[in-house]
Amino acid sequence: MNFANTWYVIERNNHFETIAHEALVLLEEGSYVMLQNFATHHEAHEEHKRLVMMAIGDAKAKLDHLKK
Amino acid sequence: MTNQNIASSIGFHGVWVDVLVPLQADLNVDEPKLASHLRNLSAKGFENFVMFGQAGEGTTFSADEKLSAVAHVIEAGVDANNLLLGVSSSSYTEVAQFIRKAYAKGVRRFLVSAPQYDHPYNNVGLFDYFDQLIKQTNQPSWQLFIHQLGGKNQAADLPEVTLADLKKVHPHIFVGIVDQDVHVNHTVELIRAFDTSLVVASCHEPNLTILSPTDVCVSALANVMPNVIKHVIAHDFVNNATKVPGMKVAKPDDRVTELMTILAQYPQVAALKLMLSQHYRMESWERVRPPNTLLTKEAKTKLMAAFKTFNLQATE
Repeated sequence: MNFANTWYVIERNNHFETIAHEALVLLEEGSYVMLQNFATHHEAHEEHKRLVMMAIGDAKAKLDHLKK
Repeated sequence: MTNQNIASSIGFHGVWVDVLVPLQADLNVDEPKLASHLRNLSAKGFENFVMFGQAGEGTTFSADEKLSAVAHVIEAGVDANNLLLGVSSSSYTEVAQFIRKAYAKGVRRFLVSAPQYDHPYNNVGLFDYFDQLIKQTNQPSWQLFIHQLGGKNQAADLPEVTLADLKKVHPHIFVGIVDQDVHVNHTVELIRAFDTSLVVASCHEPNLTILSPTDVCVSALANVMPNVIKHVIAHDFVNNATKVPGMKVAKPDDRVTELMTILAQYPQVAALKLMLSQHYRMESWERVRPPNTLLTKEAKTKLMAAFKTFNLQATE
Protein backbone atom coordinates (compact mmCIF):
# COMPACT_ATOMS: atom_id res chain seq x y z
CA MET A 1 0.00 0.00 0.00
CA ASN A 2 1.15 3.52 -0.70
CA PHE A 3 0.52 5.84 2.21
CA ALA A 4 1.63 9.09 0.63
CA ASN A 5 -1.23 11.62 0.73
CA THR A 6 -3.18 9.55 3.27
CA TRP A 7 -4.40 10.75 6.65
CA TYR A 8 -4.12 9.43 10.17
CA VAL A 9 -6.07 9.84 13.36
CA ILE A 10 -3.61 9.75 16.23
CA GLU A 11 -3.68 10.31 19.96
CA ARG A 12 -0.96 12.57 21.31
CA ASN A 13 -0.69 14.20 24.72
CA ASN A 14 -4.19 12.94 25.56
CA HIS A 15 -5.70 14.64 22.50
CA PHE A 16 -6.93 13.26 19.22
CA GLU A 17 -5.47 14.75 16.05
CA THR A 18 -5.98 14.35 12.32
CA ILE A 19 -2.62 14.49 10.64
CA ALA A 20 -1.25 13.99 7.12
CA HIS A 21 1.19 11.16 6.38
CA GLU A 22 3.87 13.67 5.48
CA ALA A 23 3.54 15.31 8.91
CA LEU A 24 3.28 12.02 10.80
CA VAL A 25 6.62 10.72 9.57
CA LEU A 26 8.29 13.73 11.16
CA LEU A 27 6.94 12.93 14.64
CA GLU A 28 9.19 11.21 17.15
CA GLU A 29 8.54 7.46 17.36
CA GLY A 30 6.54 6.61 20.46
CA SER A 31 5.31 10.17 20.97
CA TYR A 32 1.86 9.29 19.65
CA VAL A 33 -0.53 6.38 19.24
CA MET A 34 -1.57 5.73 15.66
CA LEU A 35 -5.24 4.83 15.79
CA GLN A 36 -6.27 4.61 12.14
CA ASN A 37 -5.15 5.44 8.63
CA PHE A 38 -7.56 6.73 6.00
CA ALA A 39 -7.35 7.39 2.28
CA THR A 40 -9.04 10.77 2.59
CA HIS A 41 -9.02 13.70 4.99
CA HIS A 42 -12.82 13.52 5.17
CA GLU A 43 -12.79 9.92 6.48
CA ALA A 44 -10.10 10.74 9.02
CA HIS A 45 -12.02 13.82 10.12
CA GLU A 46 -15.22 11.80 10.57
CA GLU A 47 -13.38 9.29 12.78
CA HIS A 48 -11.78 12.15 14.71
CA LYS A 49 -15.25 13.61 15.31
CA ARG A 50 -16.58 10.22 16.48
CA LEU A 51 -13.78 9.87 18.99
CA VAL A 52 -14.28 13.39 20.34
CA MET A 53 -18.03 12.85 20.65
CA MET A 54 -17.34 9.61 22.54
CA ALA A 55 -14.93 11.38 24.88
CA ILE A 56 -17.55 14.09 25.50
CA GLY A 57 -20.16 11.40 26.19
CA ASP A 58 -17.83 9.68 28.66
CA ALA A 59 -17.06 12.97 30.43
CA LYS A 60 -20.76 13.83 30.59
CA ALA A 61 -21.55 10.43 32.09
CA LYS A 62 -18.88 10.98 34.75
CA LEU A 63 -20.28 14.43 35.58
CA ASP A 64 -23.83 13.07 35.78
CA HIS A 65 -22.58 10.39 38.14
CA LEU A 66 -20.95 13.04 40.37
CA LYS A 67 -24.11 15.15 40.43
CA LYS A 68 -26.16 12.25 41.81
CA MET B 1 18.60 -25.00 1.63
CA THR B 2 17.69 -24.13 5.25
CA ASN B 3 14.22 -23.33 6.54
CA GLN B 4 15.05 -19.61 6.51
CA ASN B 5 16.27 -19.74 2.92
CA ILE B 6 13.15 -21.64 1.85
CA ALA B 7 10.96 -19.05 3.55
CA SER B 8 12.66 -16.31 1.57
CA SER B 9 12.58 -18.24 -1.70
CA ILE B 10 8.81 -18.73 -1.57
CA GLY B 11 8.13 -15.23 -0.19
CA PHE B 12 6.74 -16.47 3.11
CA HIS B 13 8.75 -14.77 5.81
CA GLY B 14 8.36 -12.22 8.60
CA VAL B 15 5.23 -11.68 10.69
CA TRP B 16 1.98 -12.92 9.18
CA VAL B 17 -0.85 -11.43 11.20
CA ASP B 18 -3.54 -14.00 12.00
CA VAL B 19 -6.22 -11.41 11.37
CA LEU B 20 -9.14 -10.94 13.77
CA VAL B 21 -12.38 -10.45 11.86
CA PRO B 22 -14.78 -7.65 12.87
CA LEU B 23 -18.49 -8.42 12.73
CA GLN B 24 -21.63 -6.42 12.14
CA ALA B 25 -24.56 -6.55 14.55
CA ASP B 26 -26.03 -9.44 12.53
CA LEU B 27 -22.66 -11.27 12.90
CA ASN B 28 -21.81 -11.03 9.22
CA VAL B 29 -18.29 -9.86 8.37
CA ASP B 30 -17.92 -6.09 8.69
CA GLU B 31 -15.95 -5.78 5.46
CA PRO B 32 -15.16 -2.03 5.62
CA LYS B 33 -13.89 -2.41 9.19
CA LEU B 34 -11.83 -5.45 8.19
CA ALA B 35 -10.23 -3.54 5.32
CA SER B 36 -9.61 -0.65 7.68
CA HIS B 37 -7.87 -2.95 10.20
CA LEU B 38 -5.59 -4.35 7.49
CA ARG B 39 -4.88 -0.84 6.29
CA ASN B 40 -3.89 0.23 9.81
CA LEU B 41 -1.56 -2.76 10.20
CA SER B 42 -0.06 -1.97 6.79
CA ALA B 43 0.52 1.61 7.89
CA LYS B 44 2.54 0.17 10.78
CA GLY B 45 4.61 -1.83 8.31
CA PHE B 46 2.84 -5.19 8.56
CA GLU B 47 1.42 -6.19 5.19
CA ASN B 48 1.20 -9.98 5.37
CA PHE B 49 -2.10 -11.40 6.50
CA VAL B 50 -3.59 -14.77 7.29
CA MET B 51 -7.30 -14.37 6.65
CA PHE B 52 -9.84 -16.72 8.19
CA GLY B 53 -7.24 -18.65 10.12
CA GLN B 54 -7.58 -19.68 13.74
CA ALA B 55 -7.86 -16.13 15.11
CA GLY B 56 -10.05 -15.18 12.17
CA GLU B 57 -12.66 -17.74 13.27
CA GLY B 58 -12.22 -19.25 9.81
CA THR B 59 -14.21 -22.43 10.35
CA THR B 60 -17.33 -20.42 11.21
CA PHE B 61 -17.60 -18.66 7.84
CA SER B 62 -19.00 -19.98 4.57
CA ALA B 63 -17.00 -19.99 1.35
CA ASP B 64 -19.13 -17.15 -0.03
CA GLU B 65 -18.59 -14.99 3.04
CA LYS B 66 -14.85 -15.52 2.84
CA LEU B 67 -14.69 -14.79 -0.88
CA SER B 68 -16.72 -11.63 -0.47
CA ALA B 69 -14.43 -10.37 2.32
CA VAL B 70 -11.32 -11.23 0.32
CA ALA B 71 -12.66 -9.38 -2.73
CA HIS B 72 -13.40 -6.36 -0.53
CA VAL B 73 -9.95 -6.11 1.04
CA ILE B 74 -8.25 -6.56 -2.34
CA GLU B 75 -10.48 -3.81 -3.74
CA ALA B 76 -9.46 -1.66 -0.76
CA GLY B 77 -5.79 -1.96 -1.73
CA VAL B 78 -4.47 -5.08 0.02
CA ASP B 79 -2.12 -6.99 -2.29
CA ALA B 80 -3.54 -10.48 -2.94
CA ASN B 81 0.03 -11.80 -2.90
CA ASN B 82 0.20 -10.83 0.76
CA LEU B 83 -2.73 -13.02 1.76
CA LEU B 84 -2.72 -16.55 3.12
CA LEU B 85 -6.32 -17.69 3.04
CA GLY B 86 -7.69 -20.25 5.48
CA VAL B 87 -9.77 -23.11 4.05
CA SER B 88 -11.45 -25.93 5.90
CA SER B 89 -13.99 -28.50 4.89
CA SER B 90 -14.46 -32.22 5.01
CA SER B 91 -14.88 -32.28 1.23
CA TYR B 92 -11.83 -31.86 -1.01
CA THR B 93 -14.09 -30.89 -3.90
CA GLU B 94 -15.42 -27.96 -1.86
CA VAL B 95 -11.90 -26.91 -0.90
CA ALA B 96 -10.70 -27.16 -4.52
CA GLN B 97 -13.69 -25.15 -5.74
CA PHE B 98 -13.04 -22.49 -3.10
CA ILE B 99 -9.36 -22.28 -4.01
CA ARG B 100 -10.18 -21.90 -7.70
CA LYS B 101 -12.58 -19.02 -6.96
CA ALA B 102 -10.10 -17.24 -4.67
CA TYR B 103 -7.33 -17.90 -7.22
CA ALA B 104 -9.41 -16.06 -9.81
CA LYS B 105 -9.34 -13.05 -7.46
CA GLY B 106 -5.55 -13.19 -7.30
CA VAL B 107 -4.96 -15.16 -4.08
CA ARG B 108 -2.10 -17.64 -4.40
CA ARG B 109 -1.53 -18.92 -0.86
CA PHE B 110 -3.94 -21.24 0.92
CA LEU B 111 -3.92 -22.63 4.44
CA VAL B 112 -5.72 -25.95 4.48
CA SER B 113 -6.38 -28.17 7.50
CA ALA B 114 -7.07 -31.89 7.55
CA PRO B 115 -10.70 -32.83 6.92
CA GLN B 116 -13.12 -33.20 9.78
CA TYR B 117 -14.53 -36.66 9.55
CA ASP B 118 -16.59 -38.86 11.83
CA HIS B 119 -14.65 -42.07 11.15
CA PRO B 120 -10.99 -42.70 11.88
CA TYR B 121 -8.80 -42.31 8.81
CA ASN B 122 -5.23 -43.33 8.18
CA ASN B 123 -2.28 -41.59 6.56
CA VAL B 124 -3.05 -43.11 3.14
CA GLY B 125 -6.54 -41.59 3.26
CA LEU B 126 -5.10 -38.23 4.28
CA PHE B 127 -2.57 -38.32 1.47
CA ASP B 128 -5.33 -39.15 -1.03
CA TYR B 129 -7.45 -36.27 0.29
CA PHE B 130 -4.73 -33.68 -0.34
CA ASP B 131 -3.59 -35.34 -3.57
CA GLN B 132 -7.13 -35.15 -4.97
CA LEU B 133 -7.52 -31.61 -3.66
CA ILE B 134 -4.40 -30.46 -5.53
CA LYS B 135 -5.40 -32.30 -8.70
CA GLN B 136 -8.92 -30.89 -8.67
CA THR B 137 -7.70 -27.37 -7.98
CA ASN B 138 -5.66 -27.73 -11.15
CA GLN B 139 -4.14 -24.25 -11.18
CA PRO B 140 -0.51 -23.27 -11.73
CA SER B 141 1.73 -21.44 -9.29
CA TRP B 142 -0.25 -21.59 -6.10
CA GLN B 143 1.05 -22.52 -2.67
CA LEU B 144 -0.44 -24.98 -0.22
CA PHE B 145 0.30 -24.60 3.47
CA ILE B 146 -0.95 -27.39 5.70
CA HIS B 147 -2.58 -26.13 8.88
CA GLN B 148 -1.65 -28.43 11.74
CA LEU B 149 -4.27 -27.66 14.39
CA GLY B 150 -2.77 -29.61 17.25
CA GLY B 151 -5.98 -31.56 17.84
CA LYS B 152 -8.26 -28.50 17.75
CA ASN B 153 -11.58 -28.60 15.88
CA GLN B 154 -11.60 -32.42 15.82
CA ALA B 155 -9.35 -32.35 12.76
CA ALA B 156 -6.37 -34.66 12.79
CA ASP B 157 -2.85 -33.43 12.14
CA LEU B 158 -1.04 -34.93 9.18
CA PRO B 159 1.67 -37.36 10.24
CA GLU B 160 5.21 -36.70 9.03
CA VAL B 161 5.06 -39.58 6.57
CA THR B 162 2.04 -38.04 4.82
CA LEU B 163 3.66 -34.61 4.76
CA ALA B 164 6.81 -36.13 3.26
CA ASP B 165 4.84 -38.05 0.61
CA LEU B 166 2.87 -34.97 -0.33
CA LYS B 167 6.06 -32.95 -0.68
CA LYS B 168 7.56 -35.65 -2.87
CA VAL B 169 4.54 -35.80 -5.20
CA HIS B 170 3.69 -32.07 -5.24
CA PRO B 171 6.99 -30.31 -4.57
CA HIS B 172 6.02 -26.98 -6.12
CA ILE B 173 2.51 -26.70 -4.64
CA PHE B 174 3.01 -27.95 -1.08
CA VAL B 175 5.51 -25.49 0.37
CA GLY B 176 4.84 -25.05 4.07
CA ILE B 177 3.30 -25.99 7.39
CA VAL B 178 1.60 -23.63 9.82
CA ASP B 179 1.77 -25.28 13.21
CA GLN B 180 -0.94 -24.26 15.66
CA ASP B 181 0.20 -26.74 18.31
CA VAL B 182 0.92 -25.12 21.68
CA HIS B 183 3.73 -27.56 22.40
CA VAL B 184 7.03 -26.23 21.16
CA ASN B 185 8.41 -29.77 20.76
CA HIS B 186 5.83 -30.37 18.04
CA THR B 187 7.14 -27.43 16.01
CA VAL B 188 10.76 -28.38 16.70
CA GLU B 189 10.13 -31.90 15.41
CA LEU B 190 8.54 -30.54 12.23
CA ILE B 191 11.43 -28.16 11.66
CA ARG B 192 13.90 -31.00 12.25
CA ALA B 193 12.07 -33.28 9.81
CA PHE B 194 11.50 -30.73 7.03
CA ASP B 195 14.20 -28.14 7.57
CA THR B 196 15.50 -28.38 4.04
CA SER B 197 12.24 -28.85 2.17
CA LEU B 198 9.33 -26.99 3.82
CA VAL B 199 8.75 -23.75 5.70
CA VAL B 200 7.47 -24.37 9.21
CA ALA B 201 5.75 -21.43 10.90
CA SER B 202 4.70 -21.50 14.53
CA CYS B 203 1.52 -19.77 15.71
CA HIS B 204 2.00 -20.02 19.45
CA GLU B 205 3.79 -16.82 20.45
CA PRO B 206 5.48 -18.11 23.63
CA ASN B 207 7.05 -20.81 21.42
CA LEU B 208 8.52 -18.10 19.22
CA THR B 209 10.65 -16.91 22.09
CA ILE B 210 12.14 -20.43 22.24
CA LEU B 211 12.41 -20.88 18.47
CA SER B 212 13.84 -17.42 17.77
CA PRO B 213 15.63 -16.32 15.76
CA THR B 214 13.24 -17.68 13.17
CA ASP B 215 12.20 -16.34 9.82
CA VAL B 216 8.44 -16.54 9.90
CA CYS B 217 5.49 -16.77 12.25
CA VAL B 218 1.72 -16.57 12.13
CA SER B 219 0.59 -14.50 15.07
CA ALA B 220 -2.76 -13.52 16.55
CA LEU B 221 -1.06 -11.22 19.06
CA ALA B 222 0.30 -9.24 16.11
CA ASN B 223 -3.18 -7.75 15.72
CA VAL B 224 -2.48 -5.72 18.84
CA MET B 225 1.32 -5.69 19.26
CA PRO B 226 2.90 -6.37 15.85
CA ASN B 227 6.25 -4.72 16.60
CA VAL B 228 6.79 -6.89 19.65
CA ILE B 229 6.26 -10.04 17.59
CA LYS B 230 8.62 -8.72 14.92
CA HIS B 231 11.37 -8.22 17.50
CA VAL B 232 10.72 -11.64 19.05
CA ILE B 233 11.17 -13.60 15.83
CA ALA B 234 14.26 -11.56 15.00
CA HIS B 235 15.59 -12.28 18.50
CA ASP B 236 16.16 -8.56 18.71
CA PHE B 237 15.52 -8.14 22.42
CA VAL B 238 18.17 -5.83 23.77
CA ASN B 239 17.51 -2.83 21.55
CA ASN B 240 13.75 -3.12 21.67
CA ALA B 241 12.84 -3.26 25.33
CA THR B 242 9.65 -1.47 26.28
CA LYS B 243 9.73 1.16 28.99
CA VAL B 244 6.33 0.78 30.61
CA PRO B 245 5.60 3.79 32.85
CA GLY B 246 5.68 2.80 36.50
CA MET B 247 7.14 -0.61 35.65
CA LYS B 248 10.52 -2.05 34.90
CA VAL B 249 11.82 -2.22 31.36
CA ALA B 250 10.40 -5.31 29.64
CA LYS B 251 11.96 -7.14 26.70
CA PRO B 252 9.67 -8.17 23.80
CA ASP B 253 9.60 -11.81 24.94
CA ASP B 254 8.63 -10.69 28.46
CA ARG B 255 5.75 -8.69 27.01
CA VAL B 256 4.53 -11.72 25.04
CA THR B 257 4.63 -13.85 28.17
CA GLU B 258 2.89 -11.13 30.16
CA LEU B 259 0.04 -10.80 27.65
CA MET B 260 -0.32 -14.57 27.22
CA THR B 261 -0.62 -14.92 30.99
CA ILE B 262 -3.45 -12.39 30.98
CA LEU B 263 -5.21 -14.10 28.07
CA ALA B 264 -4.68 -17.64 29.34
CA GLN B 265 -7.86 -17.85 31.38
CA TYR B 266 -10.13 -16.53 28.62
CA PRO B 267 -11.15 -17.49 25.08
CA GLN B 268 -8.27 -15.98 23.13
CA VAL B 269 -10.19 -14.61 20.16
CA ALA B 270 -12.80 -12.86 22.32
CA ALA B 271 -10.09 -11.50 24.63
CA LEU B 272 -7.97 -10.16 21.76
CA LYS B 273 -11.04 -8.62 20.16
CA LEU B 274 -11.79 -6.86 23.44
CA MET B 275 -8.25 -5.48 23.42
CA LEU B 276 -8.65 -4.27 19.86
CA SER B 277 -12.01 -2.71 20.71
CA GLN B 278 -10.20 -0.67 23.36
CA HIS B 279 -7.54 0.42 20.88
CA TYR B 280 -10.04 1.48 18.21
CA ARG B 281 -12.64 2.67 20.75
CA MET B 282 -15.22 0.54 18.95
CA GLU B 283 -17.33 -1.76 21.07
CA SER B 284 -18.48 -3.58 17.94
CA TRP B 285 -15.02 -5.19 17.69
CA GLU B 286 -16.00 -7.38 20.67
CA ARG B 287 -18.43 -9.49 18.64
CA VAL B 288 -17.49 -13.10 17.99
CA ARG B 289 -19.02 -15.59 15.65
CA PRO B 290 -20.90 -18.53 17.19
CA PRO B 291 -20.03 -21.16 18.28
CA ASN B 292 -17.39 -18.87 19.80
CA THR B 293 -18.84 -17.17 22.84
CA LEU B 294 -18.75 -13.62 24.11
CA LEU B 295 -16.92 -12.83 27.32
CA THR B 296 -19.07 -12.64 30.43
CA LYS B 297 -19.52 -9.23 31.99
CA GLU B 298 -17.31 -10.28 34.89
CA ALA B 299 -14.56 -11.59 32.57
CA LYS B 300 -14.70 -8.40 30.54
CA THR B 301 -14.29 -6.23 33.64
CA LYS B 302 -11.32 -8.29 34.84
CA LEU B 303 -9.67 -8.30 31.42
CA MET B 304 -10.07 -4.57 30.96
CA ALA B 305 -8.39 -3.99 34.31
CA ALA B 306 -5.59 -6.36 33.29
CA PHE B 307 -5.13 -4.59 29.95
CA LYS B 308 -4.86 -1.29 31.78
CA THR B 309 -2.07 -2.70 33.93
CA PHE B 310 -0.43 -4.27 30.87
CA ASN B 311 -0.38 -0.77 29.39
CA LEU B 312 0.20 -1.46 25.69
CA GLN B 313 2.66 1.10 24.34
CA ALA B 314 2.47 3.01 21.07
CA THR B 315 5.70 1.48 19.83
CA GLU B 316 4.58 -2.08 20.47
